[in-house]
Amino acid sequence: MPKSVRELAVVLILIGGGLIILFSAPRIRGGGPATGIFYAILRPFQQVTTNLQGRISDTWKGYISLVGLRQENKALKEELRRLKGERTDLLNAEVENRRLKKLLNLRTRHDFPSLVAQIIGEDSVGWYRSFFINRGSSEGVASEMAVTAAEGVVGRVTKCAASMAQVLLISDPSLSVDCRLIRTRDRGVLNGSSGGGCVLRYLDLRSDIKSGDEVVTSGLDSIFPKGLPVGKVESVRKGPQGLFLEAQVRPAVDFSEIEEVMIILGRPAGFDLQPGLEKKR
Amino acid sequence: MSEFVFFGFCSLVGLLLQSTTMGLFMPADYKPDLFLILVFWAGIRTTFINAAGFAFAAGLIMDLFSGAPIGLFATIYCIIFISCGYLHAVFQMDGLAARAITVLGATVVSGCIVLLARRLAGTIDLDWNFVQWVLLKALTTGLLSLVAIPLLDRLWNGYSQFVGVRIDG
Repeated sequence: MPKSVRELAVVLILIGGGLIILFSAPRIRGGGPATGIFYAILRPFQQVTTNLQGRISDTWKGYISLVGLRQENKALKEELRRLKGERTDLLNAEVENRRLKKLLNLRTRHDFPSLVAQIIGEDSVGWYRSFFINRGSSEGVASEMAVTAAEGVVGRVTKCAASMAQVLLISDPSLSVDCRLIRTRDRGVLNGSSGGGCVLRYLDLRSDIKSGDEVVTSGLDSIFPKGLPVGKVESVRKGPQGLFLEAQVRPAVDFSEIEEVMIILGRPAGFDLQPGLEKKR
Repeated sequence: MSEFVFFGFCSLVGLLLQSTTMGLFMPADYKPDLFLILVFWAGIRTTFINAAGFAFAAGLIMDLFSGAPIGLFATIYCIIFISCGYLHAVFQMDGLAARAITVLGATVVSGCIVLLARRLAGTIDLDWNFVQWVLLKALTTGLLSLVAIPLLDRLWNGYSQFVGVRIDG
């Protein structure tokens, strides 16, 4: 067989292999043993890089803030004594913070068992909106679990390994969340939009939805508990066929700012209603 | 074998940069695709079979560390590898600018395939925002390749001299 034909055959086999893997993958992505191995290898590196990056950033910011402040050196020395006292207070606060974080693992503002996780990396390619957290199946995390922050809903777990998991954000078009408007009680389906925010679709044409209305989870999608803040309506328009209203929603969470999230460890079904009850209505 | 050590090291560094540090410099949506540059570079620097294997493996790694379904980027990178290889064979893209333009084009192709796959899955509406997204990402990837390709060349030359690998490019 000529070399060029053989080489072409190899590439075609690889492409075929990729397509077979792509189309034979299960609909609900949990990650196999290969995922676990890769995640286990990369996790420490990501953790170290993230921590190092934070330290370098802090050092740089500190340096910048000090440029041009030499004339204030004398005044700063006078303040040194006071700062030493404050340092002791800060150390106490740090210890208290650690204690509170541990408490947060046990008890949250929700009634559901939950776990705090640190964000250690973001989507590698950038075509999807997701990030990685430093908790995995060894601590009870599983695919399809809801992820929230203090401000509101963040996303849900998609791929999960023993010590690391991937979270798809609500700003990604692939993720759908069943939502409700607090003021009008109208229901709709929230998806991420290409512009970066979210779109609330399938709202009734008679809905009295207005800019500034708050959107919360309805609890009917069996993933997110009822009543979690999602965002605020920015604008309203008619859908493509004019059958429904659509609203542009600004997420309550600023995804570029968050560093820690909370995973709700409840079963991904039956938060609000018995599974299947909504269909029977 | 020693080539794969180099590819593995570059992949690890690239993956760490893309999943952590790169987000500091630009919005996550528009950050450059380092792995695509790496696949393109491997295609013009090493043997066909090695580069093809690397393209497939790099794609699988990207699938694991992104929201993509497993197999999507493995397929995309193989398609891009063979397309770029064909273009290189026909047009002899020896200049850095020509290579950067090819990387830009490859990113556009990659983005279009990803968006098409997502559209077929029924999860997105294709609109002007996506066109903007693809073009800006292609631009950042193309611009970065102007720096990354010479850097990879230098690293590869140093590595080759150190371990005695044959230099093809």
